[in-house]
Amino acid sequence: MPICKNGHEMDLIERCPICGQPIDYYASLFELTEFPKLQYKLNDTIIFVGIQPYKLPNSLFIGIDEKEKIEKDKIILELISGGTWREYYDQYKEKLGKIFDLLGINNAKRKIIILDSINPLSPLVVSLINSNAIFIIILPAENEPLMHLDTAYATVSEAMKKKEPIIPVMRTLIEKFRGFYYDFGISYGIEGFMRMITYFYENYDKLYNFFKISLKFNLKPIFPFSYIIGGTMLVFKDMESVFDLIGVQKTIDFDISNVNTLFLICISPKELKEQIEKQYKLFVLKKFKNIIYNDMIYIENKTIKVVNDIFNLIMFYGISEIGTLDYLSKAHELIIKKVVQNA
Amino acid sequence: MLNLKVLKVKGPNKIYTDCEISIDSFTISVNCNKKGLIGGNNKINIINYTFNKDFMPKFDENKLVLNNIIIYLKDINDINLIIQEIKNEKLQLLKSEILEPIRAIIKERINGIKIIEEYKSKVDLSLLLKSEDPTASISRNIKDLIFKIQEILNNYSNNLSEINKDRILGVTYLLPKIIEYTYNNDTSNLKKSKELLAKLLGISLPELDKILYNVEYNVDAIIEILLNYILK
Repeated sequence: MPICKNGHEMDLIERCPICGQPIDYYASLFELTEFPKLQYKLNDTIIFVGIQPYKLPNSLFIGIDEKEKIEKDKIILELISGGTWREYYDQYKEKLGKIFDLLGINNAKRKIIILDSINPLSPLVVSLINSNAIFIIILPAENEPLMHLDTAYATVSEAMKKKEPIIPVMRTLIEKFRGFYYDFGISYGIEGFMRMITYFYENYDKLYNFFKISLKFNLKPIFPFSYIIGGTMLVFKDMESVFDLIGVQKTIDFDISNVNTLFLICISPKELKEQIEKQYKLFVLKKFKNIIYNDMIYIENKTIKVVNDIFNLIMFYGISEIGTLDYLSKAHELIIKKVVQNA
Repeated sequence: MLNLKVLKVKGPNKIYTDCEISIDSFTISVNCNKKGLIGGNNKINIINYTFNKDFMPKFDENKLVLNNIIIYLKDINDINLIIQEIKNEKLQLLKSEILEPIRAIIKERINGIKIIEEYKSKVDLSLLLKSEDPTASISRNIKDLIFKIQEILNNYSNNLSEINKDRILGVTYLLPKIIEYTYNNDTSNLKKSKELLAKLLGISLPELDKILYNVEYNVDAIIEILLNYILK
């Protein structure tokens, strides 16, 4: 936009609304030397780091291989022999940052970043994300190699600095995943788990709103969830037993007494809506004494093909204390000690 | 061009009658059909006096003095005609000098916008990552052209009013904007910039629209027309 004789940026009108001076055409000419930043325009983006990407719009895979390959939906960075996450961080920070700028990643309004926490690129990717993001971090089991645990520690630590919601998921749970999707059928492992992520993507705004409300109450930015995918009343005795068992498959372990906020995503035929809503209220009253805030979204399943009472429930928890991830910080301390001893 | 019959012309050695002067392309030509009165011969005498943009004609009553040549005018009012014609010639020169940098700025700007669009559609980002910002050299070129325009306008400051300077700079700024807004289908800013340009040139919006009708295809011609409006 042009500038007036007193240097105020103004609209394409004769006189500056601030000082009444006319346009300074000579000074304004220098605007012609500025070009729009070379950037893709994305509303949403889903980034998979070290995880086979699920078919979602605007998804980007970031991984490591022997040969570099950089495309709009796939970034493969060259393997660094013997490289830890630190070497990848130092070597690729500038390059990946430039790619993110070109792709306009941080301009996307909604971002879901799904990371294999032990991938050495994960801490770097997290560090490059600015805001409006949900991090889904897949965590290693406690008995995995120390170096992996240290990388996972770095990934989680970087994500904690962002003050954006983190959804932690144990890898062992994903490997054991079995679910029945009414529009697909039985689904296993990572593929089955990723189908669940589509619900997060489709309901991003409401979910993100829940996370942000929870963070206002000084809760940890870590939001585990539990789920029943492909539940049917042929299996469960009644809706009460459904909610009794919803906490069985939690993405990480935590103490239920530390739960302060709850959010339920429910997908079911409309015949079950009332029962689920009623039971959810009772469940909150019965099981959680320190609830500050809870909400739910209901999505009617209209395309039922097999049985007419199949439902999916996904419950998110906002928690005040979490000790479950201590094994990562212990691993990190051990690695530090070993590095110091060798120095 | 101006052709003017004059009373007589006094050269360093001779006086001529039945003379005519013409002013064209920074030259004052003196053409006399009759022989010089003092020691003259029958030859036709042509004297070409070349002036530059800093030239200010000297008049002494009804006499125009060019170094050692004195031209006696028939009418004192011819002085105004001569001054006006010299001014017109200077503005014509300014037009020819300034046309090129304005045209170049617009072409560079359009080129830059097109490059951005092309790069955006590229699937392979590797090339993009290796290369320098593709618009950096274009930006530098535009900056140099802006300085060039300013230099030309300063050179003609004696013959150019502040309003005319502003109009030239305004055309240079608004024309690429109008092309860009047309290209991006930004109807709101397109309307505003057209209104601004029409006001700046002192013409009506339909009149401007008529000139701009083929704006994307004949930028050179459009600049020339607009400069004619400014320097008329």
